[in-house]
Amino acid sequence: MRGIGRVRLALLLGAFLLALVPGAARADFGFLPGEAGFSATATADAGGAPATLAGSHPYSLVTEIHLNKAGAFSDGDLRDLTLDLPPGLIENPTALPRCGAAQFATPRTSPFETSLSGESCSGTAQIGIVTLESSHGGGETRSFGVFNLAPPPGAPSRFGFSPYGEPITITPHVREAGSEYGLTLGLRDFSQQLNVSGLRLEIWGTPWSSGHDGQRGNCLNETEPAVGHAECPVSALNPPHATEAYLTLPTACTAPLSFHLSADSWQQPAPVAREWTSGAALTECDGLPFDPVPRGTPSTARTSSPSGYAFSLDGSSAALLDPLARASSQAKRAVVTLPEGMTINPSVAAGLGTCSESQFAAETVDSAPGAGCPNASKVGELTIESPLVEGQIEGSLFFATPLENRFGSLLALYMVAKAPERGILVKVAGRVDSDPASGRLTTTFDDLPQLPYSHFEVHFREGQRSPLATPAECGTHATEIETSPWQDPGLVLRQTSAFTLSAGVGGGPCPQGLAAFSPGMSAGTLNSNASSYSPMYLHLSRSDGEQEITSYSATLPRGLLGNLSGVPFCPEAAIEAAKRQSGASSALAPACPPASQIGRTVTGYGFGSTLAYAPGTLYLAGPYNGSPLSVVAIDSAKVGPFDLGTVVVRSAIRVDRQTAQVAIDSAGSDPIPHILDGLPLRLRDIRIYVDRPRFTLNPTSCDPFSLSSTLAGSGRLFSDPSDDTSARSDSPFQATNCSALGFAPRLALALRGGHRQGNFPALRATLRPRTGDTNLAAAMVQLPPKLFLAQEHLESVCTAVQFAAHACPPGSIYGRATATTPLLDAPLSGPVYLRSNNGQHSLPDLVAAISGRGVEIDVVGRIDSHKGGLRARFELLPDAPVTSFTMSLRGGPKKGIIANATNTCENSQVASARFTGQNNAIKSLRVPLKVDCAKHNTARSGKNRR
Amino acid sequence: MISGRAKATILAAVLVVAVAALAALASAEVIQRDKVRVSFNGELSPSRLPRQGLAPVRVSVSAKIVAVDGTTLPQLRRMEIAINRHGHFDPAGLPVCHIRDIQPTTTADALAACRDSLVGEGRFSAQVQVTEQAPFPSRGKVYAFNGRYQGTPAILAHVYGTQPAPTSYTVPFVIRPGHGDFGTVLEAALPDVVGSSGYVTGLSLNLGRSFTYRGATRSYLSAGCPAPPGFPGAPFRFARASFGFIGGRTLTSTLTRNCQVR
Repeated sequence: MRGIGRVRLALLLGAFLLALVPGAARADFGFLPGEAGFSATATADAGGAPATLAGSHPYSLVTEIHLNKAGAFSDGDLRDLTLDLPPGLIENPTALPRCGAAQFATPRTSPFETSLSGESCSGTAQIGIVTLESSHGGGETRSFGVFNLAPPPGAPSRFGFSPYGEPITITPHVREAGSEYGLTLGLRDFSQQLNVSGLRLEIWGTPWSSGHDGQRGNCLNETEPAVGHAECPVSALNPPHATEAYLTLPTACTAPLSFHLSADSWQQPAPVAREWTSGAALTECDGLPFDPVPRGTPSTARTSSPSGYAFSLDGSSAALLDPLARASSQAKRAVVTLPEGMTINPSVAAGLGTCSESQFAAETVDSAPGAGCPNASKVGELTIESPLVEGQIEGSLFFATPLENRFGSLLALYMVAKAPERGILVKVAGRVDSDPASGRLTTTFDDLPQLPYSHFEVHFREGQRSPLATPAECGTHATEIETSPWQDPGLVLRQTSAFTLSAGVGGGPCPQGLAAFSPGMSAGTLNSNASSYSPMYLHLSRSDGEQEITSYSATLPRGLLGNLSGVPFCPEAAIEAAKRQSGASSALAPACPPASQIGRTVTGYGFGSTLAYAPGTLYLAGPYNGSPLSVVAIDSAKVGPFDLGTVVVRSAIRVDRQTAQVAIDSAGSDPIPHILDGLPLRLRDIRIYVDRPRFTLNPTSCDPFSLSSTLAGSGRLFSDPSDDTSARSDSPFQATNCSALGFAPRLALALRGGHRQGNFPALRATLRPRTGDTNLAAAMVQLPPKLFLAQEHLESVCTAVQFAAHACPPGSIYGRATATTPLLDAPLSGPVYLRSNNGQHSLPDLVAAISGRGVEIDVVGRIDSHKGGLRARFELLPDAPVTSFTMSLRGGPKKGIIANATNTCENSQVASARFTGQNNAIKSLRVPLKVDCAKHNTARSGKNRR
Repeated sequence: MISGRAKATILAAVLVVAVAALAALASAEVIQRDKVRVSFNGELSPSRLPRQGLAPVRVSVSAKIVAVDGTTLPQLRRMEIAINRHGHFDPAGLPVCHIRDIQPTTTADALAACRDSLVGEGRFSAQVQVTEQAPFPSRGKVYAFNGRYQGTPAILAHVYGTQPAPTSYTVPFVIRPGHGDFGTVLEAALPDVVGSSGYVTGLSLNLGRSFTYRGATRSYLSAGCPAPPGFPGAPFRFARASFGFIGGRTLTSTLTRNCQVR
């Protein structure tokens, strides 16, 4: 029983509570159908005629809302209203004073009637009236003044009214959705006691207009607002204030004014929404003034220097405040083209971060610095001054993530301006295009907010890592600005803003004529010990203002060689694949095999003292443009956030055929790029490290040499090689401790194929230098006088032209030669020619044209007669290590060029030889000729005789 | 009538004129065709010879070949020297030098091998013109040895030089009978010198040797003076030389010399 009693009691209590909640049983809170439920109109006059003039200040903006109701009660108790005003329709809260909090909380006492308004604000702060249809008084309709209030933190303004002593505030905030900016009015927390079923909000376009004198302050007749109790003008203010407009219609005529309303109730938190669109678009945009004043100024007056850049647009705000004037149109689109030569400063990339789309989206009015776009991506600042906002709206300029921004472009900027205390957030993305040939920059901001401004300024940061660099010439340079107004986006206003550069780099005199070109060059090996392996470095640099580096050539000291043994060429396909790689991917997964790597590069780009550096890798590659070898520098062109792909610069390596001296041949090499994807690289610093272990081998000669480098500067036009200038530098190079190297070459000479007088034996000479010794510089071998030159067998001689063209006639081949060197995997071998020396000597030269892995070496011997014997002198031998060298001269009765003048078995023959080392050591030998007598003693025929 | 004194005077005058004419004839014979000029010269020593019978003599012949315009000569491929029928080659008793003993070899080795066969000496010059090389002279000493070549008596002319490179050649002058005024012919096919790039520019030979064979003194060369009876001497066609160049061109020159009856 007791339990049943408690249940009954609970049910009764629940029923009572439900009865206390008005309308709780009604479910379809919402607007009346059609225009009866929601309408909004900007009126031109007190009669309610629609205002249609773009940029004009309307008489009033009237919004009417009527909710579903049953009898005197709406179907739900209105709690919140949110009204989106059309983009470009703006309010000016600074146009009139504010009602203080105390006044807003003090009930009005009117001499004309018993006021039910809970405020006692001055009429000077009144911006309109609101008429409520509520359940008060059994469903009465009563009007109240709407007043300009002090804005809360985070809101640009606030206004409110206090019906029946229930204060209701309206807090606008700047709505941003995509490129659309507009004001959204929020009416929060209507008292349930009001039970509002209808609302008519009339905001006056010019609050101090005399047309509102009958509705201002105590003159407002709350029950019949159209019939005032008296006139309450504000003209008697002391001191007097000018009447300023409060509302301004948009300056675009492209679409009708569109409003969006949503509401919720205390009982139904899910909002209901309704759209309202005025009948026609605004008109007479043509008559709107559009006169922005642009100005672009670099932060320095020096040429070829890192520079910030300030760009500003000044607008007229007078018309915005003048009730009788129409507001100037706002810029919808601004295209700013910097002067020719004012380009991206690659130094900006050093440490530069990026702002992603999501980070940009995360920028809110009250987000902390770095919570959206990271601080590292900040490249500048911006300020906006608007007559509608007290103080400045400040913001930042961020560098958008390349290629992954909304434009898909390499360069893009995000502007974020905030006034958190006013709830203002302006976010605009701008696309930056760089001319592929010149690097000239054009920045386009589209769909700029229709926020009226008096001054708009973007300030790219200054300093060594400033994002821009000034042109190379002094004088006047002009920024070109194209702006299009909201009133007519097809209209383009073209203006220029000039600035003057009056000094050169570092404050020096202005550059005159062709830019200077005196690059710095240094090179060498870390370890100078002769015959030692050592990393080699090469450092090239230039100063700001000098010509750009277009190509590089160098001649290494004689004997400074690369050990190609065990170093495969980077395949051609891999090199081609590298060209298609992104910078990031080439760094992570290089196309060339690691086994081909011989070194690395570091290249510095930019202006000033801070450069952006990018690493690269140096690979050995195969023949290129006629050269037998090449070196390919594959640089990840990823500097900071800029990923410009992979830069592949292939340099042809020429090996002197006689001295084996290595040279980088610029004529057969790729030019050094100066611009990628429209970004001038401003290459300032090239560091090359050939540091593969046991690769670079020092000479064994300690003669003073030099590493000669020649750099080509770009002249006036980078793309025109004909005006290139060049600069040469010789870096001294001298190996040390050559005298510590030994020198003990061994020579063996053998005659084969006939030992009798009149035979024509083959001659085989085998030279075996000792490992670790100094290399041969010269060699002389003198045959014994009893070995003749069989002139009658000198069938043909290769001419110099034929030799150079690799077109020697077969008849000019008289033997073969083979050289084995530790620097190559396979021996070098090739024919031995008699080659014309253009009459310098009586006899043609004996030339062993040996080759291997593309390297061609000519071992040139001058032949003559000395003391009755045939002598060959090889006077300019490569300073290269050789483990063996063999030269075989053919024999035989028809082609042998050595004739026995005696029986070489019966009369042993001894040759003499003299060798000179690269360290000037000398070794003389007497070399008995080895003859295979046992074999030929049994062959007594006349074979192999003339 | 002419008196004997007058006859003697006339004869003396004729002789003076004849000697003067012969003196003129003792100079080189120059022939030229197109750009090729050959100077052929020769001497007989002694010139005073028996009218009947033979006396030991030495014969020297020389030839110089030049291109008058300084251009490259055609190659000399054959040379033939015909000697008057009053001259005799008599190698009997002289050792025979074999070409394999002296080719190729130095002069010293050639002499060491065939000194007993030596019948004369001279000089040889040639121009070697290798493509794109400055032409260089190849010259050397010539030693003539009594020998045989392909079964036929021959004079083996051995040439050795060290510049610009040590080399030697042996030119076999085959001795065969002649016809008419020229009873003996020396015929040689010249070897290639540096393949097809050698050009002979001169050759001189001084032949003659006396030797003892079986106790008798003999001479490799001997001659008589074909002067008619009553004449103290006579001019005669001493030698005729033919030079055959590559391409078939042949230049021939005949020398007339005088002998005196002793």
